[in-house]
This record gives sequence, structure tokens and C-alpha cells, in this order.
Amino acid sequence: MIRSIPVMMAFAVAASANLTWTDIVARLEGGAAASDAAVLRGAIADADRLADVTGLDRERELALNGAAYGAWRLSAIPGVKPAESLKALQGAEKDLHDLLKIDPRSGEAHALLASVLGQRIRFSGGGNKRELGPQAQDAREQALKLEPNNPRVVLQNAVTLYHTPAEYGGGPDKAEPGLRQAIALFEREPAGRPWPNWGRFDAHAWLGQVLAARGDKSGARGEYDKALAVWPNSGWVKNVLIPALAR
Amino acid sequence: MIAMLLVLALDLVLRGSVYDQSGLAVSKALVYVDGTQLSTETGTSGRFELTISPARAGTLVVYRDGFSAVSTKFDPLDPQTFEPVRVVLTPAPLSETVTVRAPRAPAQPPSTFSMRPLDVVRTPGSAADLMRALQTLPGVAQIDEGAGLYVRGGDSSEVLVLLDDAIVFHPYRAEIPGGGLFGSVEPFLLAGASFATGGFSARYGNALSAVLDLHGLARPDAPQTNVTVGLAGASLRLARPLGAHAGLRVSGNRSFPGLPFALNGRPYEFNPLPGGWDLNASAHYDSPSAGRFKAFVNGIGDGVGVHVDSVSFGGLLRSSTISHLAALHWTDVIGRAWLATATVGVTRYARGTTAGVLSLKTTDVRASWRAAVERALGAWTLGLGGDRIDARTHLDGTVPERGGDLGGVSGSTPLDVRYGDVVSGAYVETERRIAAATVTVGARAQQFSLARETAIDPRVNVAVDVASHQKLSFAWGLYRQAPDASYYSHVSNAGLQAMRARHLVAGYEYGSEDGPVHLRAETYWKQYEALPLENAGGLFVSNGYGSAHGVDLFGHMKSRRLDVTADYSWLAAERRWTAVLDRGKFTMLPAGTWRPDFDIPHTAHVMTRFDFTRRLSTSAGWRISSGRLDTPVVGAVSTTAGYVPIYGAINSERLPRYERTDLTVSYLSQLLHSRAVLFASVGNLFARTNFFEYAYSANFSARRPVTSATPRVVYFGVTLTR
Repeated sequence: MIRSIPVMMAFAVAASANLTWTDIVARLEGGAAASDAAVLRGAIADADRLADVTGLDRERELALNGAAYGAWRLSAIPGVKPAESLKALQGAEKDLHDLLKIDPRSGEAHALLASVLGQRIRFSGGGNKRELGPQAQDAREQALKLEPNNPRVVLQNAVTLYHTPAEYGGGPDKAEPGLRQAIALFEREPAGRPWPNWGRFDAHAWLGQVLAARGDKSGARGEYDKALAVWPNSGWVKNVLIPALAR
Repeated sequence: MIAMLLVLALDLVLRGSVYDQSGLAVSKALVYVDGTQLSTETGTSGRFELTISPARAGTLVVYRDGFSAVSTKFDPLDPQTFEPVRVVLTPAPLSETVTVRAPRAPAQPPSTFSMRPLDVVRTPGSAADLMRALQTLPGVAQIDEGAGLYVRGGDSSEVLVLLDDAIVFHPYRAEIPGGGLFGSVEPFLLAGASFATGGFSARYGNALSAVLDLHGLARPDAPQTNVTVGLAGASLRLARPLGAHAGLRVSGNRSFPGLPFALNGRPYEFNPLPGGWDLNASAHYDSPSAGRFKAFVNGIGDGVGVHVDSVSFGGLLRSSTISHLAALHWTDVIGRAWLATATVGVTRYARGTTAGVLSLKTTDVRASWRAAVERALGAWTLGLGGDRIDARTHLDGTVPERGGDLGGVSGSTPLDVRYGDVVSGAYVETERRIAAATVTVGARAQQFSLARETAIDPRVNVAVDVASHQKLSFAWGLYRQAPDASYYSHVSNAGLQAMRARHLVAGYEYGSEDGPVHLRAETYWKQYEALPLENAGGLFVSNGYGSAHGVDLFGHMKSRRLDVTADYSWLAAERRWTAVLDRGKFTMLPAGTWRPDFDIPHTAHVMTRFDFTRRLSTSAGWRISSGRLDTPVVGAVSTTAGYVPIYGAINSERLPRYERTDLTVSYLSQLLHSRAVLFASVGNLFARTNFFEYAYSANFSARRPVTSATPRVVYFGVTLTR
């Protein structure tokens, strides 16, 4: 027992050393960019822990948002088991509701909540669409109402439109204006702003898919290249989207 | 004492408010320290507070979607950092999805530099004086140890100085020919300064060479007291908010010249010692419905008696000055589209100077107003405005018959000149972005009542983004300025025309002033016409002319601890004109042009700052330039009154080069429950003997350089802020 005390102390120091918001952001961004589930799992856990222990409202809001974002990214990584994805998305939903209790006017939180709910619908194969669909729609509308010029809000709305069947007013062509608007808004946003600062990769990757869907392969490749300029190690773009253009 | 001040690390708390152009508070604006995750958001009142622990310097960025990001530097060594910052967000530039109705920030013309109060204080050798700090910018020549700004081959009188749009008619204190020993505007009254050394916009009139646009501090959001005690004086600054919409600022400075001379010795013989005071007050009111108002008043007094060795005179030159300035500034956004500003200012100034036969009293009352509106119209930005100067000057006394002959060997002339002139102007300016180019085209109509002259001067600026972070710029324009009142003591019935200049500037820029690397290279050509020239009858006529061309190079690199600025200027200037104090000095003017006093072909500065720790910082500056031009005395004629000098060719001799090295150290700490900045400086560290003129023996057979007895100057003090 006595011999284990130094080990425990070292662990505690290491754990607390990682519990800074700056470090968590670095791991969230690195894990998402590299689709590294292990890194994301650790970052999500630390973000949740930081949200619990910090005495600063601002840091708690950011940590809750970060944990939800990480879970949303984790759920989409190939190889992550559906049960883990579902659990992560449920945790994200709870985190975002907690965040909205602190700041009901957070467009970022409403938009991410809509995306998390949309992901849950996709995981269920549409089984819970009646229940979660209206909630996602409300969250999306609220986000657009609160922060209409927030690029992440516009982006997530456009991606939802992309996934919405044509008979319900969606489809790739309907998503294109929103994706282009999001890219224009990202260009106005300071590139070095603090977190949340994600979305540039997604905007180009999804616009590339829109262009690919209508046969504009060179345009799509251009957008994929722009996405890779943001996240050079994205396996999704390098191994899935770009090869798909050759088919 | 320093050891006592080694206290625990301090936090830096940045406070401020964010508004849009109509004065409405902006909530949920993101406020962060650039390059970090340290951020906060504004509340519903637009206010924010961000704690930086431990305190360090950086850049604060304010961003709200739909608006352009605004960044501002902060530094715990800068007392102004502790002032609540007021940020006004402007709508973001046009995109496919956003309609902008309010005006965009105008494109920065070439040859323009910004300077903050902290930059002034940190410039080694500037003695915390704005004008002296500006002298280290490319294109500005220093011809003596004064604070005069000689810009790109122009005289120091060719610089227009504005404070919140009100003209500062006497921008120097302890005035000497060609400027003064210091600037008259204290840097910590300012939020910032913009200095355009050429090709400036149609917004500015009655200036031939440059524009120094000073922006005063805004309404205080929180109480603050600041005390500085230094070896040569003390200052006090108070800021108090009054309710939610009003505020008051009061400041004063008093110099105590005895101590620094006791420590350093006296560079020259003084009687009395140079001393002065100033008192400043501003009242602010931000009306939710009628815009923002600022009333500013100040009073300045100084006096000095200094032994001078002039051509024919060795004795005391005594000078005393008192001046008062009052200005009212208003700004508002009308109809959520027109950004409107209006300013009215009045200056009363009196100076007495005696030296030998020179005994001159100058009384000057000048008023000015200025009004301007600006708005975006689709892809265009349109600006309109008008201004007027009403000058009344009375010169009374006696002056030497020949310029520079303070001994009065050639006699003296009584003077009683009453000068009244009105200069009115109006301008229109448009700006639009065309592909990679931003084009600004403007025209200024000006009427000079004394010259009975009305003219329209076109001006064009083009900036082209040629690559990422790289820009080419071109500027061309015509400029006019009324001659100085002193010329009207000796003019013919034809009077004098407004002086004219034509600027052509081409430049390349890499990076930006806030970026880690900023490089600039500019070349310019200036032509002057209608300059005052003394004719054979001893009267001034507008037959003078001249030109100046040169190259200015500038580089600035900064990292977390090291900041290095280097610049070099090459200048070739020639003129055919007569400086007002040179009247009668030369019996026969040569044909063609000659080099003016301010032709300094080579000027270079290297300024570095190194932060040893986050609290201990040091700055060093090295400046070198060609020596000043001098007109030698080549002989003398004996008369009953004494010897009259015979001058050689005008400015045919160049004095040895000017060179000095300055060092400043500052330390941030806590003292008396206040934030404390302890500072110390050594001016002219290596005690190099620089000189700018010769003194001659009575019969002009021998001469000696006029040098300072104490070239090295040590100074120290402390600033407390709470």
C-alpha cells in the first residue's frame, strides 16, 4: 500500500495535468481530425470531469459543449460499436441539455443537439424518428433563430438537409446553398478563434459530396482537397470520398 | 527597493464593452486572447471581463458573427491596458448572404503607420514623447534634438495634426524654430495615433506633407487613478464614470527640471531652467438617442532661458508659452447607415521670445470645425465632408534685419503684423473593391481667403492584394497649404499663393502591423510649387519651388519575447525657397535650387525590445543619420556695429553624422496596493557628441561646434495605477 502511494500521486498529478481546457481542446481536435476513437474517449471523459469540477461558468459551458461534440464525432467513427455510439450520443444529449439550462440562448448548443438527435435517428434506423425528429427540428430552428450567421449552425442545418429525403424537401441540391453560405461565414470568422472552432473540414467535405452527386468530379475533388488542407489525415476523405470519385 | 517589490505574480483583468456602430450593446460577442483558448462572451449590456493569469502581453480579439473581428494589443506594462476598452464592431464585408448598410472601415492608404501610447513609451530615446517616437518611423528626418517632424523632404510646418478631428495648431511645446523640444499632446491622453507620411486622403486639407491623426480616449467605464513620478516631473490621471452614460477624465503634468540636471549635469546654461505644466480635462456623454459627445479642454504653459551661441550672438534666449485648447466632438450613426462626425475647436496661444535684438510676442487665436458623413452604398463606400479654419494672428516686436543676426549687427526691424486668414474645404471620396483591388478616389475643394484662391485637388489611392499577405499600393494627389502667418510681415501687394505639392507614392507591403512579420518598401516623388521666396526687395513672393524623392524601407518582426523594428530612409530634396527665419540672411540667392535644411539623405533606426520575464522588459534603440546641412560663414565685413558675416553657398557643408544609442528598462510589480511600472532609461548611452550648428568668434575667424556638456542622460521613475 505504501509503495502504491507514489504511483497514485503520480496518477493524480497526471490526471489533473490533463484536466485543462486547452489540453482537452487539443485532444478533441486531434481525435476528430484523425478519427482516433481512443483519443476522443479520453477527451470526452476529461471534458465531462472538467464540467463537474470547474467553478467557472464559462469553462463549464465549454466543457459540456466539448464533451457533446466529442461524443458526436466518436459515434461516427468506423469501428466504434453501435452500443458505444448510442451511449455516447445519449451522454451528449444530456450534456447539451445541461448546457442549455445555463445558456438557453446558445445557438451552438441547439445546433449540436439537433445533429446529435439526427445521429440517434440514423442509428435507430429511423425507428425513433417520430419521437426525436420534432425535437431535432425544434433545436435546429432555434439555433438558426438565435445565431443565423454562425457558420457551425448554418453548416449543421445544411448537412441535415443533405440527409433529408427529397420528398421531405431535402437532398444534396438543397444542401448546397447552405454549405456555401457556411464556407463564406467561416472565411469571415477568425481562423485562430478559441473553441468551438470546428466545421471548416466538414463544410468542404460535404460540399464535395454535393458536387460529386451531381457529377462535378473536379469540383468535388477541389473541395476534398480543401478539406484535407484542414485535416490532412482524414481517412474518410482519403480512403472513402476521393476513391469514390473514380467509380 | 526593487527587492521589496518582488511580489507574487499578478493577474491581469481586461474589462470593456462592445457596441455596434449605432451605439447598441452587442451581447454574446466572443472576446478572447489571440492564440489561446482563453475566452469569454459579452453579457446583455455588452460588457466583458477576462482574467489573464499570470499577467502577460497579447492581443485581445472581439468577434461576433455578422461583424468584422476587432483586435487590440494589451500589455500589463501599459497603464492604458487597465482602462476599460470600448470596442465598436462594424458589419463584416460583403458576401453573397449578408447585406451591409453601414459603412466599412476605410482602406488604409499607403505610407500610414499606427502608434499606441505604449509604443511611444517603449520607443527608446523618445522620452515618452509622441513626436519623438514618430521620428523613428521611415520617411521622417530628424535634423536636431528637437521633436520636429520633417517628412519626406518637407518642413515640419507641413504636417497637419488633428486630435479627435480638431486641429492642433501648435503641436509642439518649448517651441524653437522648426518645431519644439516636445509634442504638446501627452501620449496617455490618446487611444492611438495614425501617421500618414504621404498620399493621404481627400479628407485632410491644408497640409502639404503629412497628417497625424490622434484619437483621444473614450468615456471611462470604470474609475481609475494613475500617478507617475519621475526624475523630471510628476503626472496625475483620473478617470471617473458618471452614471451609465457619462464620464470624466482629468490629467495634469508638472515638470521639475532641477533634479535631472542635478543628476546628469546641465547640457547648456539655463536661466530659468526649462519647466512646464499642462492640465487636461474631458467630459463624455453617450446618449442612447443622440450619439456620443466629448468635450475636451487643456492648458499648457512652459518657459525656458537657454544660452545660445548664434552667428553673431552669445547670450540667453528666453521663451515662454501659454496655450489653451477647447474642442467638442460628436459622432453618431444616423438612419443606421450614415456614420456622422462633427468637431469644433478653438485654440488661444501666446508666446514671448527674447534673444539679443529679437523680441517677439505672438498671439494667436484659431478656430476650426469639421463635419463628415460616411456610408456604404452597395459595393461602394461614400464619404462627404467639410471643414474650415479661421486664423487670427498678431506678431508684435522687433526682429533682426537679417535672418539669424540675433546680435543685431545689421540692425533690427519693428514688427506689427495682424494676420487673418480663412481656409475652407469640402471633399467627396468614394471607395470600392474591384476584384483584388481597393480603389479610393476623392477630390477636395479648398478656398484660401488671403490668397484669394479656390482650387480642386484630386487624390487617388489603389491597393492591390497580389498574394496572401502581400499588397501593392499606389497613391497620387495634389495638396495645398496656406503659408505661415509670419511670412505676411513682408509681402508685396500681390500677396502669397497657397503652397502646392504633388505626391506620387508606390509601395509594397508584406504582412500587417499586428502580424509577426511586417515589411514595407515605398518610393515617392514630391514636387512643390508656390513656395515663399524672398525677392531682391526683401519681400516674400510665391515663386519658390522644389522636389523630393526617396525610398523608405521598414521591417518589423516579433516573437513572444523579442520585438525588432528596423527602417532605413533615403531622401534627395532640393528647393528654391526661403524659410521665414532666413529672411535677409543671404544677400544674393543662387540660381536654381539648393538643398533645404531638412535634406537628410540617409536615416536608419533599429529598435529592439526583449522581455526577460513577463515583468522585466528592456528596449534598446540605435539611430544614425546623415549630418545636418550648414551654411558656412566664409568671411566677414567690419562695420561700426560689429562684424557682418559673409555666407558661403547655402547649405553647402554637411555636419558629421548623427548617432545615438538609447536604453530603457521597465519592471512590472505591485506597490502601495497598486500596479506599478518602474522604469529607467539612459539616453545616448555612449555619450556620443552630436552637434547641429557652429558658434563663431566675434570676427568670424574661428568656429566651434555647439555641443551638449552632458550628452548622456539618465532618467528613472515609477507609474502607479489603481
